[in-house]
Amino acid sequence: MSASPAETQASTTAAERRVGRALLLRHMRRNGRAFLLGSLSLILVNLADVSLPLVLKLAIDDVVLLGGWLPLVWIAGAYMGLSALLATYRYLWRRYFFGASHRIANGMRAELFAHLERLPPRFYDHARTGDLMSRATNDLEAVRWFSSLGLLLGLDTCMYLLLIPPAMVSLSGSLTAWALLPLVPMPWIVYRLGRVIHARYRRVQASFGELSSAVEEFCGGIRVIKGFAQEPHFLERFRERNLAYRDENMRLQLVHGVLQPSMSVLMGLATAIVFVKGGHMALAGAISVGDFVAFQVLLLKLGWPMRAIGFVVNLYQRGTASLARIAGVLATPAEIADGADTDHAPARVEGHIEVRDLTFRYPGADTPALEHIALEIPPGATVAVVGPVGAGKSTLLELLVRLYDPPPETLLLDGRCVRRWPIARLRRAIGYVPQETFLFADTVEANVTLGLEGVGRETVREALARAQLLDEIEQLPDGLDTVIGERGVDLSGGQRQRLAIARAIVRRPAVLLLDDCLSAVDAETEAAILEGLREAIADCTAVLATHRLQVVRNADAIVVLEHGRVVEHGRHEQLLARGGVYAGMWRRQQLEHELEIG
Amino acid sequence: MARRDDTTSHDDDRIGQAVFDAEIARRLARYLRPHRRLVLVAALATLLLACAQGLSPYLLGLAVDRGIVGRDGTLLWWLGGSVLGLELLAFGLAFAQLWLLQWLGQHIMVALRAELMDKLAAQSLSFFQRQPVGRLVTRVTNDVGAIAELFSTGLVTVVGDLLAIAIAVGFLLWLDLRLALLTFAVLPVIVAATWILKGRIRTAFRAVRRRLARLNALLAETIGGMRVVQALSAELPVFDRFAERNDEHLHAALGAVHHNALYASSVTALTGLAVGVLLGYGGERVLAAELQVGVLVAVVTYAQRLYLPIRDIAEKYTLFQSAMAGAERVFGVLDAPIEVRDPPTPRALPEPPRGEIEFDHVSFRYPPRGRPERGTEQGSERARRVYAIEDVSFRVAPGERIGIVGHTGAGKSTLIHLLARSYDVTAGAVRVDGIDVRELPQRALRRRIGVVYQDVFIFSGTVLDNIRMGTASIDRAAAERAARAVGAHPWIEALPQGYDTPLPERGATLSVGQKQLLSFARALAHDPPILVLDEATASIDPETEAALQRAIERLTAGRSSIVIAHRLATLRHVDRILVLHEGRLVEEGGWDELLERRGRFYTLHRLHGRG
Repeated sequence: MSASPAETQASTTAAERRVGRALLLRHMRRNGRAFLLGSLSLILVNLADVSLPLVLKLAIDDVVLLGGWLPLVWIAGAYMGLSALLATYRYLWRRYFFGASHRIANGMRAELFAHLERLPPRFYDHARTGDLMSRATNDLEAVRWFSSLGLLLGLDTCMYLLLIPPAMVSLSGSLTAWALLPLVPMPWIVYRLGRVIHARYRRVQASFGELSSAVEEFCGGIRVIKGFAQEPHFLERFRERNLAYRDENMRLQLVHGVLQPSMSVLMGLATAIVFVKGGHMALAGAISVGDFVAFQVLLLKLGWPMRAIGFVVNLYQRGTASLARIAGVLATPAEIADGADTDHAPARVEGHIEVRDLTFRYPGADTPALEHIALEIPPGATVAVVGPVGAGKSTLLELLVRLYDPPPETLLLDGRCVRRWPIARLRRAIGYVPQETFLFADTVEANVTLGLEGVGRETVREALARAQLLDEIEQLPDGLDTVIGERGVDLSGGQRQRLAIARAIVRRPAVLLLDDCLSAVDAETEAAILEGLREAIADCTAVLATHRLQVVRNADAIVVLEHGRVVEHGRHEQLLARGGVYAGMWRRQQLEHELEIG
Repeated sequence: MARRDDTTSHDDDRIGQAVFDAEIARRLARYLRPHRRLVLVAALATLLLACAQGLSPYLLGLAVDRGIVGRDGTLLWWLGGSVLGLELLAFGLAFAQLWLLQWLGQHIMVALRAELMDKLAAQSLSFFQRQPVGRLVTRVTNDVGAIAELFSTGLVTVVGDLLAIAIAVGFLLWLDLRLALLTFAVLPVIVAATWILKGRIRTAFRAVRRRLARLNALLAETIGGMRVVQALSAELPVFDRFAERNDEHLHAALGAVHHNALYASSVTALTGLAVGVLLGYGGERVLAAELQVGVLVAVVTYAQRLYLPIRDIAEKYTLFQSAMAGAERVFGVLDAPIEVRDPPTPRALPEPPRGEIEFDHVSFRYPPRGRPERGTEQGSERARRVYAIEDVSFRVAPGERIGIVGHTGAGKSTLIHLLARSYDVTAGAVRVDGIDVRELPQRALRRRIGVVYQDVFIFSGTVLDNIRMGTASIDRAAAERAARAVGAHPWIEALPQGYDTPLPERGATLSVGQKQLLSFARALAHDPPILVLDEATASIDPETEAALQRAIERLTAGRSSIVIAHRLATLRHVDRILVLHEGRLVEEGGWDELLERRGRFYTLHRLHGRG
């Protein structure tokens, strides 16, 4: 498990780095052609770019020394031709490299997403959405920069370092040595200051986070703050962070302020050396005027790769760390998946559920959530599971849809252990409505079908009608096409829950599992909705988990759970007559119910 | 962060028209006024820097003509020294410039943020009810950030670039008029290319950002709802949806790459063209002895330098746009009228407080809304009904406990808003201890009224901080006493660091019941003469519910209290019950009395008691 909240860049393991490298290589190979063509274009650009000063030298020496022996039109033409070449290939390498990097990011994102879809709920119990998001966004972006700009600058730098010094040497060896001397520390400076900048930048980001959350809390909690007349206290809290953010920023800018100008000073030193040394060499006739000018231009061009080395190293470090973080998610195994013992034999699901001495412990928990449960639910029956919070009602349902894996051969659907059903078939056959509802920012219809193919609008309306939501949906501005969720129309808690039910029944499941999914409506509405559902669920097996007893009194059987054990089992009347746990709960709830108001 | 991105991208859609608005610019300039001297120094540094940097091609030309061709060795030493000296000067100037401008931008930012927060603190609650928190946070953080960016880099880059252009143009004209004019011939083409292509690049990038925001929103959403996706076996269709947006983003990104690459190449090609022409024509003139070769070298170098600043300025266009848009929105918040104000000469509340409340023929209508809100059920219902509260009168005697019942939208919460002066009444008066709340300083009024809401807001900080809420007079012992009284002490003690345990934002590590108890302790510690309870309704387990019930008993004992009830059971112990229906007070009396009367309360009771 690698996506734990506490994890930081530093704690990426060697294995994750290896997986990360393999991941990047795989995606790069997929874009191999683009990288090859991009590199070729880049090399051509470098060649052309280094040749330009030499053409300039030719022009100068031609007019000064040769008196126009070579027609100037040719030289000018050569300059323009080379520039045109340069422009063309500069366009191409950008397209190839940056295009490929976007494709790589696109591919990795898709791979990451597909893997996230396979990871079990257990993973999501521990991982924070924010952390996963930052891997899918910031880290992916860092990898993208490394795979485009990083590689490209790396190659660019190498080419310039390979081409410019020889070009300089071809003009004058000793002058080259003199001119390069001040540039030697450049990569080191960029690298070191780059690291400082990176570290300080992270502090600025962290400080910005603090500032934002101070504002967010102020605005979000304004009712409470004003209620206690404590505006000054919270303003003070904001003020501190406001100043802290400024100070962090200034610390960062201090380094920025030094880095760029000091590069210029080093370049200036090299230029001054060429002025004096090169000038005197020209006077002595060791080099021509054209050589002198071309040398200056080449020197300026060399400044860029010297700076770039430092950037490349930083990009590389950030990229590999991010790559390992992405790999960390991808390396997390999808525990619940079809395997060798999956039975793919086609079968119509009847909905016969059998629980055989089921004991289940959540991973890492000391006490079992369910203990020695034995139960049989015939096809088409409606069974209620009741009991206090934490009794294990939800766990039982979660095991049925295999959000967690029960021990082998303890939970059977149609005589076959749920672990041997192909996952997709199992979940297709079971309509599960969890406690927490979840809406996507999309239309009502899309939220009901959730991509289910071949569902007509009529079917959707029917499902909504059965969930007693159709009337309310039709009152929305665009009916079924109304966008709901974030940025859309807010549905009330009860409406959301009914939508989740519609989502389940539109799939015509053989088994319907409702996990206390109407908690947001009052008891009567819940009873009315379940009554309405009766027809829809007539021929499917239904398991209802709830702590409201009134709504389940008509169930074929009621299972009372307490502390993970079945303490009572029977029909409503039987259980009442027995005068045990259920009867006690019933009396208490009747009493409360009489006092309740919606 | 993702959420924030989302809001920004939302705002981004609205950017696009105003690059310059004289009114906004004037107002922004006002923030520079206190730093006039600094601005002057920075401007001077910028000017000198541009000169220092603009001189080197000329020196190169001199080195060629006077030094080498003119065979003057000592001049070469002088020139080399000048180059180094200029660079050292430039180092100092560049550092000073950057430091001064950052200082300026950062200080303006701090001042603007403080001004915004002061304004927000002064705003009435009614203002916050219409503004999503995310939007206000964006105002204070990102929008102000964009303005600061304008001051610290935007303005100076543009000024510096314009100076660089001016200096290059000046030298070109001075060195050789004909070559200069030749160079300028390419200029309009480059400016046109910049204008057209940069516009497209901006559009392309905006599309990329928007699609990325959409993509990330979907990603965050799906990660949050993964259980549902898996339980419904909807992985494939959900993946397809994701892939569609992923590819949409890719296409937008590729478009941006294309335009960007096209622009970079066209500048390269045009510069090459210009230099080629200069070499050909200039060379002929050198041959004809009309021109010195060093001048040609200097001209070629200046010509190449002319185009970079043009690109830079174009790049700053977006910065200007977002700063202007940000400023417009920030000023929008600063200019928003404060709906509920303290009176010019506020009256003082009597000491010691009695805790008496009086609603005297109060009617209230929600103010018409500036911008259409989401059509919530209550909202539309309210709109249909003119008055949220109509002619309501009642009195709460000191120490009396009253309950308010009614359906959702009956006006229960509105009564509380009016009492705490989140809104002002439309007609009638609300009086606390005999004084109209409009004649009181708001903060003094609110110190007298403790409101406990059902959705508890926990601040990041320790448990103790959350009870004290910054009130200096509540020490550790007092906080602990309050926690004990409401029954929160045992589990607080059990936390790793007890009362000093840091709680995350919104108290994510606490259960609903714990948060509720904490808010009770908070209220009790402040010991308000008047207590308002918006009773919890969430379905929590019976144990916790019993604990909350006991805590409520303890809280309201001997204190003027208003309990908004969702469960009638709570009201068994109050002195009097008010029944609200559609904004009117329809019944009033004790529990048994109301039941005997067989009116609305009785109906409510029967209706919900029917098994």
